[in-house]
Amino acid sequence: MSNERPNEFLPWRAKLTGVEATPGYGLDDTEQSWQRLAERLGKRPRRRGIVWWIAAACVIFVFLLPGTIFRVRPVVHHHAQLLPPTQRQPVTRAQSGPQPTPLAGGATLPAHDISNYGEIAAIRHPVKNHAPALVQTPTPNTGVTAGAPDTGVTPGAPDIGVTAGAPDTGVTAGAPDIGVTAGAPDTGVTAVALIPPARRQLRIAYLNELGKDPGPAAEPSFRRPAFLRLGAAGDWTTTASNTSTIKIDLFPHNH
Amino acid sequence: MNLAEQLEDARAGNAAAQKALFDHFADSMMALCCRYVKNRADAEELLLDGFYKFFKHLKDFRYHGEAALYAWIRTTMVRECLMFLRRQRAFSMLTAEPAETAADIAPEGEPLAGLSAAEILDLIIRLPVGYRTVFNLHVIEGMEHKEIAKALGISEGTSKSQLSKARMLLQKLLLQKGIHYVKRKTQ
Repeated sequence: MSNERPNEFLPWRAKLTGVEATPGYGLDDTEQSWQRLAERLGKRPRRRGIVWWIAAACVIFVFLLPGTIFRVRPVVHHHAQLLPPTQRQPVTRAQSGPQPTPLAGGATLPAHDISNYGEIAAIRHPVKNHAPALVQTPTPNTGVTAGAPDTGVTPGAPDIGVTAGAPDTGVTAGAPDIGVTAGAPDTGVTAVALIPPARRQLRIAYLNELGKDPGPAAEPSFRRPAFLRLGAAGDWTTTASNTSTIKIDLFPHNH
Repeated sequence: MNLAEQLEDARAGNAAAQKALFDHFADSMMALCCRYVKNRADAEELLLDGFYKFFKHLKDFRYHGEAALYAWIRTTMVRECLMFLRRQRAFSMLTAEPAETAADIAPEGEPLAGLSAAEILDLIIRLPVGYRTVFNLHVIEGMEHKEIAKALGISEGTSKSQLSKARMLLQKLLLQKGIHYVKRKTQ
């Protein structure tokens, strides 16, 4: 480019970069200018750091305060609450442990052998899609209790060892095909350690209970499975063999 | 008290030493500011801003002689002037249009060397702000076009173009002053 040629103005550099003053281009009043500068130098520096800290604190306060006050708690769907209280038949083991239920004739039904569903028929034909649903309820009704582990696995019936899915969420239905299945009473299926829930209580609500009126709660003595017999000593024996498969029909016509 | 002692006292906050330094450099720095900013009030304000920063950052300076101190103050002042001009958006409209005529002429003899500093300054401050700034940075401060482009936020081509236009305008101004140019000899 043309401006890359030798610059004839370069000798000006030496004339304009000297310390000596240029006549006509100095300060009009050096003393006054110094006074202005001295005032500025004498001022305390602005504490910008403090201002930033205060601003940061305000921002944190503005964001954290609503989060603390209006904290959104995890939503728990209480399906049992969909039912009227009269229809709720909780099967919940008390946190304090099994509570024997008095039966007619002075017998006592072990707490873990209790179902609130009523008689459970031992049938030979497969029944599908009748899996128990584990329903979490904040305030279980009175009465019969069953194991209520925090894992979500809750035996609905006694020694048959009901196996249900182990959902961590509140309301979970077990696998439909499984239903309530046990190979044999004693062999059981579940060997799940029943850990009392710390704060929650679980109950089992069978699917056909939902949305229907089961009427008044039956006496515990009538709510035993049909394949169980009450022995003379007040203990329960079963008619099922070790190889039989017990499926529970939950329809009302079996009651 | 020599300059090094004044500097040490000024660093310690001694107002008298600071005033001595101010008095020593103020006029030359005022001329520097006037080369960049035409308005004298603005130039004086920039001078005070520059000295304020100079005294505030004096603790970071290691004295290696008056030339180094002078260069440091100059750099501080030039930076203040450029910041001021950038705030004024003085360079936003600069383009890289080539100059109309290549200034392929040279002054006859050494007339430019005979000009006084005041005469040179009179010529420089008559340049438009873009020409003037690039001319100052390149010719007086000795910066390369790449550095100028970075400092002003313009392209390198724009810097070269502005310098070419500045030279052309200065040649015209010099011709008006009676300084004659001759065709540059081809090499």
